[in-house]
Amino acid sequence: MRRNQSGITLLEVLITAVMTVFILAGAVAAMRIGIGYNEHLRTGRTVEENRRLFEDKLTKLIQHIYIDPVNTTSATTYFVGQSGQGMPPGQTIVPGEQLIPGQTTQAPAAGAQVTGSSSGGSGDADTLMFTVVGRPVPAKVLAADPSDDFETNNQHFGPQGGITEYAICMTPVGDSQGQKGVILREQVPADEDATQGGYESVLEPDITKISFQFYDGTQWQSSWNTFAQTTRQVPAAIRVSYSMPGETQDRVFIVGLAFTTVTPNTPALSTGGTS
Amino acid sequence: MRRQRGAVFVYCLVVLAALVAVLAAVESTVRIDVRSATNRVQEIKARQACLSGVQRYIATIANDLKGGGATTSSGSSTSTISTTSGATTLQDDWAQLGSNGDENVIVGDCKVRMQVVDASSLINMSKLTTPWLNRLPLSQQQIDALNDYTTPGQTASADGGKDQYYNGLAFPYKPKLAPLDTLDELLQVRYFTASSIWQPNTNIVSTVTFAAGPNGQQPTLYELLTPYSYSPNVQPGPLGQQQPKINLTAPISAGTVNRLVGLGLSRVNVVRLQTAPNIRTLGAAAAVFPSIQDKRVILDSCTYSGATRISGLINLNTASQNVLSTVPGITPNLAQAIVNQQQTGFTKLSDVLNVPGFTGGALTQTIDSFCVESSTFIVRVIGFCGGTTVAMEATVDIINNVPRLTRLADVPFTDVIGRWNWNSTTSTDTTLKEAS
Repeated sequence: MRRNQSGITLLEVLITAVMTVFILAGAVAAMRIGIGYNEHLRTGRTVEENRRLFEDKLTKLIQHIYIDPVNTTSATTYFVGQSGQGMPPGQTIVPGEQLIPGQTTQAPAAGAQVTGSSSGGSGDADTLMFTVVGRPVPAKVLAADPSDDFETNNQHFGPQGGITEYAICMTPVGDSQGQKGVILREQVPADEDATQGGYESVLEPDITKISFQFYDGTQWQSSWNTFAQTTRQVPAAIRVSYSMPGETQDRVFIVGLAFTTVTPNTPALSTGGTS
Repeated sequence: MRRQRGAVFVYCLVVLAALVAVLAAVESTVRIDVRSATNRVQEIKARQACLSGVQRYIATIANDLKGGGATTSSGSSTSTISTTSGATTLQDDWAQLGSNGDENVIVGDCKVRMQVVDASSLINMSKLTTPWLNRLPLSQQQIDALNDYTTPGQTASADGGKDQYYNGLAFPYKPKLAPLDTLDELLQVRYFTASSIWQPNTNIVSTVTFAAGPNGQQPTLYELLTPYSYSPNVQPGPLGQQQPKINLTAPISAGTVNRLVGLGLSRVNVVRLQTAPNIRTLGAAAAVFPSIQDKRVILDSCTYSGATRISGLINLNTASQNVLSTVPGITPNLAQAIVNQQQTGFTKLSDVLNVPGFTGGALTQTIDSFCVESSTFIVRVIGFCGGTTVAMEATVDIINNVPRLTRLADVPFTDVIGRWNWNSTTSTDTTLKEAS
């Protein structure tokens, strides 16, 4: 009797073991689901964060578009949005900080209507070329060692300030080494050649298509070219559409241009575009 | 048996702990998401608040240009917009908008502080001659390099640099050979770095003794220079209603002679002006006439430019003593005398003749550098939303009597309030309400 009271039966051992197995299995399953959900959230967050960064960067660039209000014949400042910019097809780019020269072997004339590859296909502009002033000097430049001279700063940061030339498209000008996505070409200082020069980087690698429309005060236009305008004006707003993998609908956002003189009451005199 | 029951309990605790850990990780991820989204929204709202501040200024000037003179109410505060004085003195309403950063304008859950700065109160970089550069806190190397970078030709100065130098850089480019478009473009010029633009150049002894700022330091290039400023080339009058000046660049016609005589010049003196073909500046033209009254007519009614507005003149009403001191031909005493006169204001260019000492050589040499009205203004604005702060400098240009936002620059500093010499706290709160 005493041995029975101090020991356990085989049945009790089995029940305990089965309960333990069930509890552990449930716990492991719950943990796996939880960890998977957390990973899913993290991945989704990264994708959304990249998308936000892309939209924010593009928005800030577009908000700083600059056309010289006084020297109206200067080619130093411009705004061009068109389909098929004429960049050599089939080339991609090194992503991130690694920059490569965005230089073609034959430079088209500034403002020329150039034909070439188009990733849009809908007739809307798939390439945006514009000049910008007022982007902040990077903090790393401001925080540079005051004892560093001009040459050292050039070596570390490249040229800074002034009018900067940007191009946004899906096809780079230079050799891109198999990388894809939305390409940002940046040239400091601007050199009056809208089609090439400077350095290119991948702005957002996951985007498969991008297109632009331009509000002229009354309707959305598919192209814009200040080189072809008698009175140079930038649109009231730009509608950016882009596609992400696995999504059935394009994402769209609209950016108003701070410098525009175009309003519904004073529509653009001409878009300078083809439509 | 007791030990085995305890084992089950421990299992349960372990499982619960693991589940709590997973939940905590998920919660952490979600919290970061929420914080990230909040920060982004706050930055967007702060930027929009900045732009609303700029638009408020544009609306004020536009109303002034229309001659509205209406009394505008904005929330708890009321301001009357001047229609007759024009944008002339620092006491005008346009200059007081935002109370030099001392007013907090509340828009929803955001706040805006702003200050309007006359671009013509600063030195236009495109007008910097070598004598003028010599009076700025710049080294001889910087002066040579800047001259080489902004002037045509391929012959470099001893300390400067042209194509050969800039093509040899790690990131090569061509020198501009034209005036700079922005202040930060100086970073593309040899010998210039960020600290030489935005920090006092204490190791350079300038020929001009600058008045120390609130922090006891000499002014930075950022506080002295602007790349873009214009002033109307018209006769004094209400803002937007001024008459064109008489252009003396063309041969003086009979009609012009009659107009000058009508303004009080004798025919003899007008003939003297006609027979002095080498006169190409207002200073030289004024020197032809010994009479103060005749000088006033020349200064107020004549011009040697056919343009409706002139780039780079310094506004006598708004320039600081430091800026005035750099103008070749202006002595420290004369700069101080001009600043003293700013309290009453210069409504026309000839008012400069009321400044003690502004005669003779000083008048002849410097008067073509000055104006009394401006058409370009810099709106400094800071938007606050939650813990996010965004600072901008917008350039508003009045072209054909229409105010336009022509430039928008993000300010890269975190200490803008100190750099702009604003008080750390505001004294007035104004709540903007939605129009009903």
